[in-house]
Amino acid sequence: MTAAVHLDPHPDDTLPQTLVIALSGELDYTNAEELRARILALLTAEQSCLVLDLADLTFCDSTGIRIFLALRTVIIDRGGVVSLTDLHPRLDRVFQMTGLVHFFAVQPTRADALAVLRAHPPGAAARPRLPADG
Amino acid sequence: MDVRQADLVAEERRMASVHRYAVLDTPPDGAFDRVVALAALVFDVPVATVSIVDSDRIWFKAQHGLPDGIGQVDRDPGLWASAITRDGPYVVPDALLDPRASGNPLVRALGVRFYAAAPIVTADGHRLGTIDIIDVRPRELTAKQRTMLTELAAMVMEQLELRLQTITAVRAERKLRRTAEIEQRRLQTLATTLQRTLVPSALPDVPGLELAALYHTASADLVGGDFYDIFHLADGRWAFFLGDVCGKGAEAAAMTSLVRYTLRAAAHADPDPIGVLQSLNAALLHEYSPAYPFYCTVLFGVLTVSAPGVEPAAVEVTLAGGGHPPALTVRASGTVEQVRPVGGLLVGLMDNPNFATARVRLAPGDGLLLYTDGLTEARTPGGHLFGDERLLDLAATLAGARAPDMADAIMRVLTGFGPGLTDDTAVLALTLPLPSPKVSS
Repeated sequence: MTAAVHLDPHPDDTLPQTLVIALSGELDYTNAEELRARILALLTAEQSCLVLDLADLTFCDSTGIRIFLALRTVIIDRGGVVSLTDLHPRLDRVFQMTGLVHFFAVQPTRADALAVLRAHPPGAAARPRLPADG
Repeated sequence: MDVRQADLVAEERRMASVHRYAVLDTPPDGAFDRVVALAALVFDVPVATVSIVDSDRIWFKAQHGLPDGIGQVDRDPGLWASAITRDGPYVVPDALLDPRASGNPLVRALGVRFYAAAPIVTADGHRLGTIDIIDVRPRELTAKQRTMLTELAAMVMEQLELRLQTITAVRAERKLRRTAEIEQRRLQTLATTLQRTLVPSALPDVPGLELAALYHTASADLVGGDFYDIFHLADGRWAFFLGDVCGKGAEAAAMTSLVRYTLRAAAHADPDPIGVLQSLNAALLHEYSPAYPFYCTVLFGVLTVSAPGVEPAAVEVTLAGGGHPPALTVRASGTVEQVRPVGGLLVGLMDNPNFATARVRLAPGDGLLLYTDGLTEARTPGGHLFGDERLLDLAATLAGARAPDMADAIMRVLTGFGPGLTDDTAVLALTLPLPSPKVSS
């Protein structure tokens, strides 16, 4: 089975510091690394928050989750948060069972995640970004 | 023929060059056919050939106007065989009057009167053969025509060069592909071998308990990172674990190896299952960068089997979990309970993963099932998941069964999925057998 995952940016004018992306398709070990690179490429130097709308992500394996965790490390480093929204019941169950809900701001919908970010914007980057930062 | 030693060496080198261009005995080629047709036209001769001189014959790569069936001729002196010995054009204006050519059998056989040739010379100076023009009446060749013949020979050489480059490129590509295939196979073998070290080759004999395990591989190419083990502790208890590392392939197999040996070492050093999982957590955090974390889910337990003769027999299990699906207690009565240690995050992600334990007591006829999510996450051909509920239903049918029968039943379900499985599955079943009925004498 050849999995394909697609990525649609949904910029929000009121939240210039937030990269909003809708993922669709199937995320697994065959395409996870490529997705990570593509999301990091989209992330501008000013952006410290990431919202991933997973409504149309029909499959996500452990390597996919590993990518979310890797992105989380980058975002936490910038003093921001990673919001995951619209998790399929199955992915939601995995997140509950594994305790991953404690690692991400899991929100029911993309609108909820954006509303929370507007109401409680995370502080500016915790430390200045050095040129040496990846 | 009186040939000096130096000539022999030169001929040997020339033949090496001929073989390098790999043109002898190849099928007709349009490019060379066009050259001889052109030669016949511009020189107004009935016969033209592109010949390659082999050690014992003149072989025609292309010919125009020769009688059908003449693909090669002997290396008799006077015509082709003599032309190959010259650096420049070789011209026989009238073969009947030429002492070099008059003895050549082809002069009589084909009625050759005029023969002219220019050598086909490689960049490093070896003459592979000649381009030849032949007429049945005597002729002369002007200086301009000699130049033209030499130019045609150069064109043939360019064509041979192009052909060699193509052959070399194709060979290199084939070799590259073969190397890549070998490398791929080697990697698969390595990963599969590594994976075999991740599960014990045989389960130990635990007195009073029946054990069975299965490892079902979804893909022969990419091994998953499922693992399990059961082993004796110095204090008389038994430790066991079952889990799943993230990812697939060689990287996952390497990590699984680390997990398995860390758990075994920690189990001997720490009597507390929570302490064992904390050791594993620390080891993974130490090994992998937070920028690209590697995590696993695991159930780790210790069990004590009641001493022989103690009635009723029982097994006390303490189970600690890190982000793993719950174990199932399959009671002899048909009841199935999920054993879910409260808390317990994925192992390898954070400093304080809040591991917790759950306790289970097995009575005779009861069993404990541990499994990885390859089973519940299996996608049926219709795209549906096998899921927790169906697993609970299946487990209920296994009430009172012995461990090997439980494993067999689950294996049948897994093989029933066919190619719909995307992930490996490991299952560990422990059952406390019912006492065998007393035989009265």
